[in-house]
Amino acid sequence: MENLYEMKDEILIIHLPEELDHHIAGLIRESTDELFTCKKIRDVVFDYKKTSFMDSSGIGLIMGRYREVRYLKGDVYLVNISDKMERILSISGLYRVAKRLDTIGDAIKDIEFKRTT
Amino acid sequence: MENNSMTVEFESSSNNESFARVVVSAFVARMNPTLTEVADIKTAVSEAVTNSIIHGYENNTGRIRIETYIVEDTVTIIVKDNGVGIDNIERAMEPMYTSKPELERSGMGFAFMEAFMDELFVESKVSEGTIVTMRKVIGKSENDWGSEID
Ligand SMILES: Nc1ncnc2c1ncn2[C@@H]1O[C@H](COP(=O)(O)OP(=O)(O)O)[C@@H](O)[C@H]1O
Ligand SMILES: [Mg+2]
Repeated sequence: MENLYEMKDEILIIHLPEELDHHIAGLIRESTDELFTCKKIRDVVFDYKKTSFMDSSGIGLIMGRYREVRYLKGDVYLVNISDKMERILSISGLYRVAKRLDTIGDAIKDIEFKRTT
Repeated sequence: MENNSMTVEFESSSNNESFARVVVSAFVARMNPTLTEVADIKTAVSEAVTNSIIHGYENNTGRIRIETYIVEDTVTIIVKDNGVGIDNIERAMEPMYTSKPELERSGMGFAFMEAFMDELFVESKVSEGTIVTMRKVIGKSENDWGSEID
C-alpha cells in the first residue's frame, strides 16, 4: 500500500486502490493516521483514477480526513471521478464538504491559489 | 430467465467483503444485468455484509449467510447474521445515523441499499440477529454508461 501516498507542499495525495470497501478503508485509515502524526498535512487529494468500487465505508474515510484537515483550515479534493463513482458520491452528500475537480493538477493549482490569497 | 437460487456462508472477516460481492454478482450475471445494475448489487451486498461484520458481530467471529434467488426478472438477496441485532430499526435506517462514529462510519449503508435496490426490508431481534432482504428487477433501467469499460 506504500505507493498509494504522495506528499508535496503539505498536500497529501492518496491514490485510491481499485476497490474501496470497509476492509481497505481500514488499512488506509491506519497509514494516513501515521502520516498525519509525523507530517504536517494541510490539504488532502483523493485520486480515484484506478477506483471502480466504493461503498459507504469510503464515504466515512473521506469525512474522517476532512475533519482532520479542518483544524488547519485545509480542504479535501476528489479527482478523476468516473461516472460510476459520481453516482455514489452525489448520493452520499460528500460534495457538501469535499471539492470535486478533474485532475490532480487542477487540485494542486486550486490549493496554491487558495494559499496565496 | 429460468428460476434459480444460491446460498453461501462465510466467516465474518472483513476480507470476505469483496468475496461476497463477487460471488453474488457472478451468480446474477446470467440475468444479463447492465454495468449499472451490477454495480448497484455489489454496493448493496457490500453494505449489508459489512454491517453484519462490524455491527452484528462487532468484529468478533460469526457466520454470515447470503441467499440469492432469481425469479423471472427479479433477484432477491437475503443477508443474515446471528449477531447483536438492532433495537430500533427505524432509527438505524435513517440516513447518517450510525452507532459507531468512532469507527468512521458514515451512516449511509441503509441509504445506499435503499437507493441502489428496488426494495429493502430489515428484520431484527436483539441478541438473535438481523435479516436484510433486498430485491431488484433486472433489465428495467434504460440509461447506462454504455461503453464504459469496467
Ligand atoms: N447487521 C446488523 N446488526 C446490528 N446492527 C446493525 C446491523 N446493520 C446495521 N446496524 C445498525 O444500523 C446502523 C446504521 O447502519 P448503516 O446505515 O449501514 O450505517 P453505518 O454502518 O455507517 O453505521 C448501524 O450503525 C448499526 O447501529
Ligand atoms: Mg453500514
